[in-house]
Amino acid sequence: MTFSFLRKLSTVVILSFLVFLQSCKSDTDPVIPPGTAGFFIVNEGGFGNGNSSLSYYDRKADVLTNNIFTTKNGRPLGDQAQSMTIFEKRGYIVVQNSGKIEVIDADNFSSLASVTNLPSPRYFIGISSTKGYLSDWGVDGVTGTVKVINLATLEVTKTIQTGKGANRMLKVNNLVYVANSGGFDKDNTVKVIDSNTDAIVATITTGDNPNSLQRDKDGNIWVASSGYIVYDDDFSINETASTKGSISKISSSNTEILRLTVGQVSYSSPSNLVIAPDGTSLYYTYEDAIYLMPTTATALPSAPLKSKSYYGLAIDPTNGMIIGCSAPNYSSAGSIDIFDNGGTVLATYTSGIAPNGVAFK
Amino acid sequence: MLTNLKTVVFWLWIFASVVSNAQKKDSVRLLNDVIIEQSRLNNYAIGQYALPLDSMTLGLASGGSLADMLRKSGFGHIRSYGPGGLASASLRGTGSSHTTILWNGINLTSTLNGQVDLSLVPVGFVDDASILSGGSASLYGNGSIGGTIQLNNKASFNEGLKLKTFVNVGSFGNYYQDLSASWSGKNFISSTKLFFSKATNDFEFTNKNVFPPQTERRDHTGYLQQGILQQNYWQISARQLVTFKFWYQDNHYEVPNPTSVSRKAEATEKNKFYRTLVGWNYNRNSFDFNYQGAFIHHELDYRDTVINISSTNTFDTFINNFEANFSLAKGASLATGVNYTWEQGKVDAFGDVVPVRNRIALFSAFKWKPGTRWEVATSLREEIVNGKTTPAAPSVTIKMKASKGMDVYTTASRNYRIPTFNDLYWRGAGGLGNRALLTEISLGGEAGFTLTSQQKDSGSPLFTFKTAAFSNHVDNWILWVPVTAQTWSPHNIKKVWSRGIEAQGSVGKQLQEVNLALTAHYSYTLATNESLYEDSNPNELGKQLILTPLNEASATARVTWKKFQFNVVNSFTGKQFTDGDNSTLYAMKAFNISNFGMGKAFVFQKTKATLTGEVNNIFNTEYQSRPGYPMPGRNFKIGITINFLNPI
Repeated sequence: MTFSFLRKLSTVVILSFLVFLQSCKSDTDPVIPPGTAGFFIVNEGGFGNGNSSLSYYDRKADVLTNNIFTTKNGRPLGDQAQSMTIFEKRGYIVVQNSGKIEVIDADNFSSLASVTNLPSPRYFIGISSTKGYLSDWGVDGVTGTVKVINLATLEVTKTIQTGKGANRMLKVNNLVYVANSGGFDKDNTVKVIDSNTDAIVATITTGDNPNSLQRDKDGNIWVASSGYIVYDDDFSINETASTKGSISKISSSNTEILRLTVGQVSYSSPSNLVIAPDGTSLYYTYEDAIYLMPTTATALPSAPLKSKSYYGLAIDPTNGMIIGCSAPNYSSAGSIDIFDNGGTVLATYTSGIAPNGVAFK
Repeated sequence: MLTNLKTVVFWLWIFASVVSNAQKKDSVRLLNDVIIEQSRLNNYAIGQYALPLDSMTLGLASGGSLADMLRKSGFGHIRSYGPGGLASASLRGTGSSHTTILWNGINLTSTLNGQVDLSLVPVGFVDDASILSGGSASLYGNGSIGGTIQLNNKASFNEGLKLKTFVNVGSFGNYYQDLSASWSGKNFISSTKLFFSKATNDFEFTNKNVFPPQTERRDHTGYLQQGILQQNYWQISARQLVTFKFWYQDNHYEVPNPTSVSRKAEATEKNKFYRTLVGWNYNRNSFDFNYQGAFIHHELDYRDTVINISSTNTFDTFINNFEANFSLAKGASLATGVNYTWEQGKVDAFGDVVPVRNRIALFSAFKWKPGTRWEVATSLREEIVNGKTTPAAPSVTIKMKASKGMDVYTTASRNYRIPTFNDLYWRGAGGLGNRALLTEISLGGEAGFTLTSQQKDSGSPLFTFKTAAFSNHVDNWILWVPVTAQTWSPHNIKKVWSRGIEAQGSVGKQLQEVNLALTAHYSYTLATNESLYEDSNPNELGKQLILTPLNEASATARVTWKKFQFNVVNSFTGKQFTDGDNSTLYAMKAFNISNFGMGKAFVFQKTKATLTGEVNNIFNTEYQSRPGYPMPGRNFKIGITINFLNPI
């Protein structure tokens, strides 16, 4: 190999750089299944990375399709999708850090509208054809509110101050229960709003930082609370200043009648409280496991139903199967497990990044 | 323990060599040489893949920042938050804190986050720059895992009075002005440079984050910068040179939200710093001694009225570098020295803790060129931080002249990076530092060759070509991972293997009155995650790191004809993944950006004026610097430079 050969070769290489152009073609889009019976999976994505996504599971075809929002609409879903609720054939996807709700047609997934400029929205529930409630942490993470949204104009018409970290909501007839999860601080209340007047009609005290709630077949309301963690100077948990998580039972007259406190202060505190379709079995996540507790219980279950960490939990109302959203981290694809009430996994599917919840049609 | 013993033996050997070989040798120092104040260690970096940034390349920034220049030229990969936003370099697939920025040999790295924001370096304050990737970068110590970017100032004696001003106006409220005055006598130089720069950067982009998508202007993206650089040089005797440099800069920024956030951004940032550098050089035939003392004070004030955050982050660094160089017998030379650095951080999120570190680094480099064919260089650096040793950083290079105009070399080295104060002491919302963090270590090797031809006879092109293949393993890489849904903490859990190829070439040709120059640069970087740790996804193993393109290339063509000059710069950035398992769903598409510039010079006696104009992103390509941070479409700049040489 002579010097002049190398020189010529290199000159060709250099010149070829001058003419090269756009190289990578975009990847071909996957085919979207029609909106048959199934459920949506909300994938939160990594905070700040704008890679939230929506997946759809078609029960009949037994196929899970990822990234359906972007595939259908040609645009990103946003940053930190927190939840999705289907109400009157529309899907309301609440995207927290984007400060918006994306409204889609629940059958064909196409965009209908986006509600923007919301501070830090978390969950949505439909009240009537013209009215919805949206819980919001506030940009500071402590000024929690419920925003009343006119579903015809998609505008916020009223803001109700509730408590720190207004989180999941539960509608029982005309009453809406709002769990104040503490946001970036601490709260220990569930507020009850009369959805006819939008006025707060009751305040129920629970364990610290109530995050999720369910109603059983007898009309009691169950609340899972995270507890509150205080750190020492060496960054270890200060056990005395911290509080443990708990499960509370609230009677139909809106008073706490039972509080079951977990064994230890934990990062992985009781959350994701869900209930089986018959209204007699509660499931929740705690200490990297799923626990099953009957609504007749007076003590917490000692052994888990399933020892695996889930970031989101749901029960399919059509067949009672449990859907566990597994998010190993915020940087790569998670998965969902579908399992029976004995904890036996029947199927596993790869989802988007950090799946955190399910919305049923 | 064994490492320590080896270190001691090595040092004894070095000092024994000094004592036995330090003989006087004749060497003539030319006093009117261009003075570049920097560590002589560069002379020992013979196995380094260097990308020199000449004045033409620096000029591409047309008054912008180093980040603008690197982005435009396509040299080195820049990760930034849009025009004017925080920018850092990633060399050879390493992280943002793995490239040190040396200003006249002084490490400017923030002790808080291990980075230097390249958007705060005005190119007008730099006379000479180069990117040195990998290889012998262990010479420069802490943090040089990917390499170093060296920014130098130059001066010459006996040049009299010089005045220069440059004004540049561009799209989106871009305005830049600088003014420099220098006087250079027989033994004394004084040079003052001032600059002022601002932009609103309210360019249009398509916002697909709302339905229906709409064209919007970027909001809250403005900045304002101003600064002064004062330099003095005294040749106090034939053997002694004293230098003084002072760099002050004040920067106000609006911090935009990513486009995925629909709320109005309110955050602002004020960055203020001064850097004082005093140097003393003593030269005695075969011996040369250098002292550099630098004091750096940097304040960052971050405010967000929406979330009611106001945080102050300050660091102070006092650097003392003592270095001796010896020309030994038989083509050998040796540099040895001590670096003592004191650093302190005051950060609201550290609570009552005000961390202080005392760092002492001993270093030595040896080079031997016995004949015309072979050359070897070795170096060793050992740093002691608050009394604790860090892993020793050695390097070895062998270089050979294979044929006329062709050099071949190979290098192996070990580098390190100590944790930053933020990594260790952060204790704010969302993050918890980890005081048990270890030093990151990298072990790498590379081999390459250079071809040069410099035939001066007309018609023959001036030609250079360099290429290197490298492989580098980084262990104990510090990664912030979530420990709860809302709390992230750093751990030494990541392992990365980066390997690839870099190549650059240039050809020049003179065709009567037309001078043509082509330069091109290409890099292929495969940087993969090699570790599984708690909560990691097995799918991430062996996958490319995020925001690290496999392929990057750039090409520049320049034509000079009489007093006209034209240039075309084309830079290509390959697809970048944004998630750990390299899903194409969230990847940022590849983009190719073309820019055109032209200039014409006018000379009136002792005054030279140059008019310049440029069109950037000619094809109006839509692209992002990172997800949610769009870059401007086609835009324009015009400028004028006026030089007065000895006006009085």
